[in-house]
Amino acid sequence: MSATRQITRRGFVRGAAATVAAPWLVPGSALGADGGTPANDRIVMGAIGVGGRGSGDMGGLMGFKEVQMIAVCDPVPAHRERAKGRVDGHNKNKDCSMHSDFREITSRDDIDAVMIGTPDHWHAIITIDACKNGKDVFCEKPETLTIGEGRAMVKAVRRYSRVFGGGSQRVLGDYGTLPRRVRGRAVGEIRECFVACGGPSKDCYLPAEPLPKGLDWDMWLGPAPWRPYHPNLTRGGFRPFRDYSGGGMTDWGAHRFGSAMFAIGVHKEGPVEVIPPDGKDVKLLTFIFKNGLKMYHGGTGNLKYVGTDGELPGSDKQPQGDVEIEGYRGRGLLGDFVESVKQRKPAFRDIEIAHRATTVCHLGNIAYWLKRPLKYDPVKEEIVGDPEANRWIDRPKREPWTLEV
Amino acid sequence: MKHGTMILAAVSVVLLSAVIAAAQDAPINKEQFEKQLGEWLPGMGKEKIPERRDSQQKLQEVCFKVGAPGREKDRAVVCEVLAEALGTDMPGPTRIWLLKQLQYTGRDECVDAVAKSLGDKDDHVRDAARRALANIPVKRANDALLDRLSASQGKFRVGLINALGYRADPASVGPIAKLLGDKDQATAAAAANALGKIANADATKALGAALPKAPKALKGPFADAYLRCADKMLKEGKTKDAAAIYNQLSGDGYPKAVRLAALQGKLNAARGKNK
Repeated sequence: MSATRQITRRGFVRGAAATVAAPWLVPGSALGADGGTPANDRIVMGAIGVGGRGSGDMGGLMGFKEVQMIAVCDPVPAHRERAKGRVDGHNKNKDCSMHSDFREITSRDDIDAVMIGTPDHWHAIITIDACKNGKDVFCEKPETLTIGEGRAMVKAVRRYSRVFGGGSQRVLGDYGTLPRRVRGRAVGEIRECFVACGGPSKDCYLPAEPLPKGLDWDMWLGPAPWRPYHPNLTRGGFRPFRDYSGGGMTDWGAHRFGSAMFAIGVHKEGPVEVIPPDGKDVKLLTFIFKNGLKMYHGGTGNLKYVGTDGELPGSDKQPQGDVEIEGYRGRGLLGDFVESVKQRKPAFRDIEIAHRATTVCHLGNIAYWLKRPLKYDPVKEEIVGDPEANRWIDRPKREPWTLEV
Repeated sequence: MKHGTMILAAVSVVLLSAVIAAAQDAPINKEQFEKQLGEWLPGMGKEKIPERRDSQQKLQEVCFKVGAPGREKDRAVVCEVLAEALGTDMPGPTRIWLLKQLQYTGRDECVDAVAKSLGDKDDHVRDAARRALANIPVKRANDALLDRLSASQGKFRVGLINALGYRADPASVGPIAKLLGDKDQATAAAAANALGKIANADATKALGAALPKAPKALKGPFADAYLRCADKMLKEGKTKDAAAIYNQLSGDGYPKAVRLAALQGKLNAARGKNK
């Protein structure tokens, strides 16, 4: 048995075993002597879904000295092997474990938090499982596939007192001073807002292709209805398809609708009506909020706000007084997550806010698919007076998966 | 003259589009729809997936339209025809597509046909039928799932339990509760989860009785479901009953995350808050 053992925060928490009266030699690294982060301040993480975007987030998190990545998971062998190589290189060892099943990571006692970079159809199940196992969660946008999933995720995060950070760096990052100026009523009260993003998701008609050796297709599909393999789906091309994602509406929509709602201050609410274009009077998909605010899909190349005293962008007007962007702890969105974990406070893109933003995207999709106006109750989170439309609030999952909340 | 011809052509296109649109919004004639469906069906199950698009999307468009408020008669006609079609010999992909439409548009008229598909030899068809019944908002859909429960096993049984949990019908509590002691742990965990979703008094009682006897591996899922029952009680103002469950789950023998959640629940109960 080794004469030295690292004393970690987890060791103390486990109780008696860590307090046995034996001569412990505590390596300096555990106390941060070599410039590293003391063990007690480390956030040990696992990365689940390490394809394109996921591996980017994984790398970004590893850039924080507090974060120690020790496990990666992906049903695509090439993704997880590449991710392991990156983690091992960063940690200067070969200890990063590789998995195809996320439950092998969420069930580990030595992991504090997970990064979820899987396709959208997995986000809810993995988030809820992580919460139930006491893990904090950073989850890429769009954080949900359905409105029902979003509320389920909120419940799990709150029930288990977890920190959840959603992956929308663009809410603040892309728009410079815009959110502050809107919040600060630089152009008065916002009456209309135009949001650019791609269109609704659709059914998938990709042909069947031979399954590469070692790829766990059943696990990639998970809760989504079964279909044969196609390489586009595992290479980031799942986004247009309804079974896995919400198309452009949730891709850039999660960023831009989220940003608009945050800037205007309706980020904890929802619309009461959604009207798709009808080829006649309604030219743009329109969300109507209780206070009369209208938010449109399209009509701009990015984001445009129309206030009582002017438009943004397009005006030099500045906020009236200091404007605090509540909940943002700095260091970028990943850093905000890290700080929130350390301080045990809600992240800037907390799950409730992520859920409200993606709800708007999902409602837009439903209106586009069904080609009819919808009335929505943002408190009960139901489509009102249209039972068949309301069936799209959530979806039963492929066996044996289900939402456990 | 050329300019006039162009205007005439444009007006004709507009008028023709309006006629087509009006035809699509016209009441559905059952015989005509049966004939139309008969033309679409062969395309829906083509071996090459891209070749299924045209006919599948045309059917879906009709289903989306007749699902609108005020078109109940049309909806019922369309779904009756789809249900009848399900009873005929057709490839798996075609069946799955019809079941998908019924998942979002079907009601009482299609339950028997969908339920029969629970016994299909193709497990993808069975799964599509199960998901359809999970989402068809009539009592008979719940009954159809329950009817299959005792004879089923393995992953399919777990799927049936999940579907019943999705529906959260109190009538399911009795049959599901019997599975809390199942030797297959996946079945038992699914049963606990489903009861945690229903979370009525009977479900809470069943979970409370099963929890002490649960094996170590199932303590977490059972406790989580029981926690959800407590959360629901707290929301309904049954603070004392909720607090009793939180108290129990904050003690030894439960996973750390459950104990923390129970502690949070105790605090919420003490403050008179609900989640």
